[in-house]
Amino acid sequence: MKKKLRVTTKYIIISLISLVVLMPFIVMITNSFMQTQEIIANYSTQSGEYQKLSLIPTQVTLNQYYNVFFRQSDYIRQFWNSVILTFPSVIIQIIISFMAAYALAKIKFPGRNIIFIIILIIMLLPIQVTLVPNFMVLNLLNLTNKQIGIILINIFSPLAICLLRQYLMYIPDETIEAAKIDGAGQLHIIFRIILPQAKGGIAAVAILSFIDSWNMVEQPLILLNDTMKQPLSVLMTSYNYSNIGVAFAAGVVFMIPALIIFLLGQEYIVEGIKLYRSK
Amino acid sequence: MKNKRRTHIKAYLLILPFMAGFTLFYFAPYVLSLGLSFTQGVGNRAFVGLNNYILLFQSEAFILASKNTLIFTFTAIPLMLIISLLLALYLNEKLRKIELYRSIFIMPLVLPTASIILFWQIMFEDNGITNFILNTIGLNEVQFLNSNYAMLVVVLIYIWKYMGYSIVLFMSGLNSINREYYENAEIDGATKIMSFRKITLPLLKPATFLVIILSFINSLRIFREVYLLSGSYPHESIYMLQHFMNNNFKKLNYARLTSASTLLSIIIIGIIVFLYMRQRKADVN
Repeated sequence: MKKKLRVTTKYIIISLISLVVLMPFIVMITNSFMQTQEIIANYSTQSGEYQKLSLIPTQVTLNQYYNVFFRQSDYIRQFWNSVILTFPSVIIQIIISFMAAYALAKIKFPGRNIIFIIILIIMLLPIQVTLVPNFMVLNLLNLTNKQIGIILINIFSPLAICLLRQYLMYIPDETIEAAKIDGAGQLHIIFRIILPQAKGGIAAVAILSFIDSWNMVEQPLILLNDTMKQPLSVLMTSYNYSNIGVAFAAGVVFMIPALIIFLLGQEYIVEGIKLYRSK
Repeated sequence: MKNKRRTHIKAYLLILPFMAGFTLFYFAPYVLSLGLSFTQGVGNRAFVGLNNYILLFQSEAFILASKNTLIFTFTAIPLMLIISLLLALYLNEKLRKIELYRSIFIMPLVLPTASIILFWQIMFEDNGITNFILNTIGLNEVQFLNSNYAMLVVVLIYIWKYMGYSIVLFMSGLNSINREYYENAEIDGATKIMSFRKITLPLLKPATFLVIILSFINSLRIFREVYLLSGSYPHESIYMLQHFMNNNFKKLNYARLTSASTLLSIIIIGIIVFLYMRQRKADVN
């Protein structure tokens, strides 16, 4: 009896903590179904009045979403900018990094270690440092204020290759040796033997890389002066000030791609985080 | 022999696309920026030794940004370690539905900061929810985003956001500890606290090391939250290194940019190597 009580308390405590962690998410979702007028009434803070955080809309409506999609011509463009800056670079990055990671993990060749150490060092440097060389080159190539500049920088950023190499190291060499004895070529080994075994790692790294790009703030802020080209990850907060009536729905819509990926791939995210081990 | 050479060529071909871009956009300009940090002038660059670094340390903005970044790092990381270790220990105690709870703690990692920042604004603005609560229970209101309390808000957001990383790493560290150690300790009459100190903590060292490094790297990303919360000109207590860099990008001040980035790389690599050495030493013992 006493034990049961203890277990129950445990569940209650952990559930309360979870609720607190989820709170920002819950508030965003429930408020996005309120009337634009209700939001304005709750959050416009004139002369010493407090904001009213209400969790349940007096009337559930898609009014805000309608406004976001059909009344905010900027929003669609900004969302599209995020898509353009994220999806192509994640896909190309994974392909290029996978090939290189395979060579670094599974083929012995002169210069392998020094190449990896250079990549690793640059990977450990924060964005405050790496943006300087990025900016210098883009400036030289006349690619500042162009979206392609950011895409290129994201494609060659070193995190994906380090994590993929780590994952490929766990695949036993024997499987490759066996295939070689059977006379399989390098391409056959990559596509038929390594790729199927590395699916989990590729998914994990692709998800982490997506999260990074979808959330980026520093790069567009410095490398794109033109607000017409900037993604929602930078511009979203302008709605909070100028158009609070649609800001909740605007925020939720921007979350959706990330949420879908989270729901489908949370196992991979955990695997991806574990890849940081023994680095 | 010939075969070996062919393998090498294949390896180089595989690595070529990545290395070409990586060298062009990261490595070569990085090395160049190291060199530029010792020069001044446009076009006709003159070698000035450590002059840029001396000027950097005379810049009030740089000192302020470094100070704030240090304060943030040294507050946020210990808090992160304690909170995420406690949660990982809690989750590890054979609760059912562990995965569900773990997912909840990972979720903030995925949610775009840009979307969630609205919630933090509602909570911490002058007329926000927190002040409403403070007022209701009879305490004084606080200008959270425009006073030294801003740092507290930023630390809170950081822990909320990146806790998932540390919990996953701690949980996988805890899982790898052999249960028999605890059973034997219990037979020997050790209390729970004793086995935590003598078994869990020492065996959790590699995980802790990793959490510290990752939290450190993530802590340098906090600019995002600060920028979205209070723009390019935040309260001076949360003026971070990236704010300093942004200003100099706008002015195209290469002397500042390259010397600051070189200095920062030396410090960061130094810290990571130091932590790594300590970890290696602990492993050997």
